[in-house]
Amino acid sequence: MLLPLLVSVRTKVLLLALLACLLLPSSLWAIDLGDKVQVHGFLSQGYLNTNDNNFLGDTEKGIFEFREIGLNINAQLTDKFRLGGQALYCHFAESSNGNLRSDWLVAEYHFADPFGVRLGKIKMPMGLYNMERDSDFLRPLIFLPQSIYDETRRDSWQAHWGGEIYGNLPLGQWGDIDYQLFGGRIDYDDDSLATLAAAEIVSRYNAINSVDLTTDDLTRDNDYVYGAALFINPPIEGLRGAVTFLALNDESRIHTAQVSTLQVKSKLIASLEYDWRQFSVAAEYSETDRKQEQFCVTTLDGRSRAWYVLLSYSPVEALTLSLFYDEYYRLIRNRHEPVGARNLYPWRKDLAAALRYDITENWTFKAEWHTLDGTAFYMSYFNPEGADRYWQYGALRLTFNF
Amino acid sequence: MKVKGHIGGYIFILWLWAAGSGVCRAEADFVMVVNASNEVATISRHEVELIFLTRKRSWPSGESIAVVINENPKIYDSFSYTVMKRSSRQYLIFRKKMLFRGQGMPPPTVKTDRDVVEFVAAHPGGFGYISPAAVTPAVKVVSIFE
Repeated sequence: MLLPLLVSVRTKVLLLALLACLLLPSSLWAIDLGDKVQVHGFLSQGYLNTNDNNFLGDTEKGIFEFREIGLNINAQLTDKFRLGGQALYCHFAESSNGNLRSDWLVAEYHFADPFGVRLGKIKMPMGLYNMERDSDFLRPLIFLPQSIYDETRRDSWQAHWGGEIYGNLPLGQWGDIDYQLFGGRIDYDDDSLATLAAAEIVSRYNAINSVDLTTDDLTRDNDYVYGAALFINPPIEGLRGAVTFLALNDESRIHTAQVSTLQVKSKLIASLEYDWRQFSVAAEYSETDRKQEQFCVTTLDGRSRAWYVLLSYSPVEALTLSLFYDEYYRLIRNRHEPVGARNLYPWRKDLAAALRYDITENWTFKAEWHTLDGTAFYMSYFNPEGADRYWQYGALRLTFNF
Repeated sequence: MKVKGHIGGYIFILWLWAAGSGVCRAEADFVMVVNASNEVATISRHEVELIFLTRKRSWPSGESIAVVINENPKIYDSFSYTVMKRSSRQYLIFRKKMLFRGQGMPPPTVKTDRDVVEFVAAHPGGFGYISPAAVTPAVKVVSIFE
């Protein structure tokens, strides 16, 4: 009885679309335009509920504003030249407000196996899973370990406009390596959470200049981003390793005045994934060295540390049960120092259990539960009255892909 | 009473293990085929894996490789386990990742051996796998070595 009252019109439309997908054979959805052109997509609807704190929005009462819709087209114009793009509609509570945007848009020329070039809006390699974060059915979890895959910055660090070179290098008996070297600029959305959370900067600017501006008057730009990724495929069956690196520089302006800068000097992630029979283990370790200034005063300068271990077991191929521990510290050198009066616990430790069930090739259901200690990652923005140190959240998700 | 409850749990875990262990079976009941004009006679398993992962895209002659995936249920799983070292579902997820990350177009899929023969015969760089009984003069069998 309560469900129809809680669910918004947009959610009802999406649920009806999912129902239509369920009733129609999947073969009717696949659009096959021959060997050279393919059209694919997905619809995903979720439910998020939190205890003791809000997370990504007003979630303590449960939200259905937790959906993604994507549609892509690829055209292999010659053996070596491909064009492709994906449109994405994403509504993740307040962290992404339901804009339709280009997720990626690529022109690719494959010169030879060790060397190819991509230009356009390109997914950034960052750890094992960043490039597939927008497609729920490709992620092992609803929420990837937040220490490395922080949901509040997902739209910021997802893709860049620019270019990359890529290729596969054979290493003989040692296996092979996939590499990517990239550079360009990130185009931040105006409703990006990191921009909205800059309200404190605007308030301070208003106080200094006796004006009454809002976050609409603040622009956040990326000067550059560059990085590299090595994905190592050794001859050991089921083992994969990766090392990824990136650096970037951002600045925020109110009209023409620079009010804030962020320089990520280095973000380095080492990753390991191993599958053995029905078991799988993934672990990643990351350090990020960054410096932030507001009104020419340094407000953050140092390294953060993030790591997690994810254990999975698949009793039958379609079902995966996972357990992970995830830990993040905003500053390694002073792990428990509060950030002002609003963030007293600037770390995040997450113990989570998750279930993934691939109902068919086209349908995936996921459920997970997280128990947390700490309030890093904009929790003070979602909880202006103060965030509790200990809190929990659970999520459900149903996704159709074709 | 408590012991009985534990026994039930252990039986359930054993059942899950036994059900899951089925994913490890593998039996090579297919042959790799190329276009009849292709000079390649043997190929390593690792090279075949790289080709079907689209990491290797050209033959030694420089001809682009045109891969086709055969979803004939009699040999699809066997090919995936034996050559790709992953289940057919894991291989499907790999192809979806490539597609939805914007990193490439996965090879086309067909449903029967006959479709593969037609595809390979029509493409000078064609490469696929079929049941041994489906081999015709239009394609050439290449042997795989470890």
